[in-house]
Amino acid sequence: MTTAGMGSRNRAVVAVLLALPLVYLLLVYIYPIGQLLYLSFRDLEPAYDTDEFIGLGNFFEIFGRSDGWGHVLRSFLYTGICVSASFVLGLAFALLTTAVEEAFAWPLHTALRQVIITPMIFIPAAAGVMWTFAYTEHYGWVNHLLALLGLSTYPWLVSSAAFYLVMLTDIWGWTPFMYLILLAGLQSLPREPLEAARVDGAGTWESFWHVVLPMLRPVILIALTIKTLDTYRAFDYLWIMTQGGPGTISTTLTIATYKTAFMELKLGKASAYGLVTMIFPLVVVNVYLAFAQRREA
Amino acid sequence: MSRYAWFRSRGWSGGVVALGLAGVLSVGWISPVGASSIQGTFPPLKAGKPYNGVTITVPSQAGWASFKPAVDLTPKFEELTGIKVKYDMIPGGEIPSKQLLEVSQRTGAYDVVQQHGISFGAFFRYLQPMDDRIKDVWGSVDKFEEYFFPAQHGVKGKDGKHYFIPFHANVQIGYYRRALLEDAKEKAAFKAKYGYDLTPPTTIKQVEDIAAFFTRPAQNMYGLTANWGGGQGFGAFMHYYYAAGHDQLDENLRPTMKAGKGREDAIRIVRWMQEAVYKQKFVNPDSVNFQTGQVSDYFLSGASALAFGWLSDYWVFMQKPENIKQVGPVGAFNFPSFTGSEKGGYASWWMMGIPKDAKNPDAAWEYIKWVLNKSPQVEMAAGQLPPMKQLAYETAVKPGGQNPPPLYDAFKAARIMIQVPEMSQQPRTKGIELYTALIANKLSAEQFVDEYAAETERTLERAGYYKK
Repeated sequence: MTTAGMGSRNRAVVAVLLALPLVYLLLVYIYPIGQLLYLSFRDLEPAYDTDEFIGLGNFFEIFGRSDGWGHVLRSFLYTGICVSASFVLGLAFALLTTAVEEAFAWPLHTALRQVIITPMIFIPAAAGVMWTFAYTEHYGWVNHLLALLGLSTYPWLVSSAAFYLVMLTDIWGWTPFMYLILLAGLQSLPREPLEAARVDGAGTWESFWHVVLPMLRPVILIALTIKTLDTYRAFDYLWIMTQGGPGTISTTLTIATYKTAFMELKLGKASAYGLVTMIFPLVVVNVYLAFAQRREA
Repeated sequence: MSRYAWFRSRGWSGGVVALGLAGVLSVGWISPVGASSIQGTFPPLKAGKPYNGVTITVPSQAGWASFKPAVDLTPKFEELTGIKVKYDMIPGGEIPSKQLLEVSQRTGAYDVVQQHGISFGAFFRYLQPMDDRIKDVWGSVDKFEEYFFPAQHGVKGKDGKHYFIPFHANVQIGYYRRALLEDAKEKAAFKAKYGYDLTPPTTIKQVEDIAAFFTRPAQNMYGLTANWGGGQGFGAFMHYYYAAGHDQLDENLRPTMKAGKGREDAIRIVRWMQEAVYKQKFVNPDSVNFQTGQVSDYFLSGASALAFGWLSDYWVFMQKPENIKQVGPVGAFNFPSFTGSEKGGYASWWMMGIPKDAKNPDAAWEYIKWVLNKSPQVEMAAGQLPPMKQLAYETAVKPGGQNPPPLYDAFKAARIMIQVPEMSQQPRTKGIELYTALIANKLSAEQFVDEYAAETERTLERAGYYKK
């Protein structure tokens, strides 16, 4: 039925129903983004009662004086390493669980699944504190292990390794997420193509590479997109474990935005950081949508 | 300057007697209170409950043990005045920004702001001047200033007026294990090695010697543990720098670390901190990530002979035998100056002010006055020093006081960290960032000092403090 065929009362109901999400979009998405854009061109510092238009001044400061490129590169590095490692580990664990499920009649795979998803039960803030403790020189089990092996101990979060140790924590914490999505994907695959490949003499590797992986591609794409967006805006582990330090070794765009907004109280510059931070997720989402559309076509 | 000589230098006849007299003669705890005041209160609270039924909103730091006694005693204030107090407990890291955003947007959310000496500067333009209220209570601004430690002298707006009333003082001090430093065998061995008696250190050289002497890897023990992690570490450096006789800015508001003796001393101090961890190794490596709570835990585990930090918070705790089973009795000392200066270190100075947009400023003033009263100040003193000289003396130096005397010694000349509002955010954030690189051994002492001085100068230049 078209709107032409509706009564005026029905049209009003439809208009209201359509208006509600539009108002929601306007209030919760468009207005804040507009404000962000507006503020990013201003020097807004409530501490000094400053609020004036400065054009691209905040962006010049970010990419000129404030190590902005460093923050961008570290954000990409963090995202790239964490997403890749979580994906590879998640997929490996998912395949292992599937193999165990097929090989053993008794529910070993259930126990395995429980073990693998254990990090998911930790609140990230609590896990951050736990891992911070693990890397201390005196109390941490990591150093105790190193000492047992005859290696030197060190407060690792105050070293060049700090950024990579936070990545390790992120990978530990988020691999279960990748695992669960990929496991669900694997378990929903039709059995017939795999059995046909085996009948045709395909080995395990050929079956995986030419049959399983292509069938799993949509699930992988969703998992990677969600994980990439989430990791790119990671904050909790980084803030709790290093606060972006030592120096700026682990300062990503999100950490820089927080510090600029809530420690330096430079709201204009923080908005510019926010705007810069938004570019990459928009690209990722659009790439995903392009893939999805191509697939549908 | 010898112990308590500060009082003598102020023209007092000296020592305890003078303090007692001063308390009686000046506006002390037992000074007469007008008929319109509640008997026994000073600063006096208005009698007759003129603000009965008014509710004020007071922000404070969530989980702050030192302020907890005041929160716990608030029902007593409510009973006395009829004013209801609603606390907004804010996480520590958001104390400046949350309150600044509220007052700058003129939301009227708070009747009081509560700020620390490192962040108050940004608030002046949003607060009510206190001078008239101060005169009503203390008689004059001079008497008000004399009532508190000298740190309050640094808390004035550009117009010379007071906008903040202090309610909490603290300073970083050292602790030592008495059983170790007073052990006859240790004393003999120390004297044989260094040629002088083993006592709590009074010079940096003695700190080095004692810390090196007690650093015993085989026993898993270090000489010194300190709060040298992140923002607290930056604060520790500032304490050493102030105690070396420097302010952050000179009379022209240029950073003193930029050149000359200031730069020389700052470099010496941060290099000492770096080398204590990485070269001489008498400070435990974890110190570069420690806050005071961790220092206290580490020290009480018996893993160090000396400790440094905001340790007065733990003094009462450390007097209980059940808490010091592994280390025995604990002693306190005023951490020595790097230059022998007696100008005092960096003061932690918490203050309250009344926002211009406060809905109930008069009721807020009653609350601020109440916080300065002997109760809750005495209850709060277990973990801080009252900012009033006389009461601080009573809680730290007089027998039966709940604080160690060196805390009073260390505080009496301590100063607040910033001198102009613009020092609150940008230079401090950058300073902490640089400091964390320095203490991780990723930045040289010279780089740290020069970059911090440059950032300070850049910020103040931008704010228009320097004439072209």
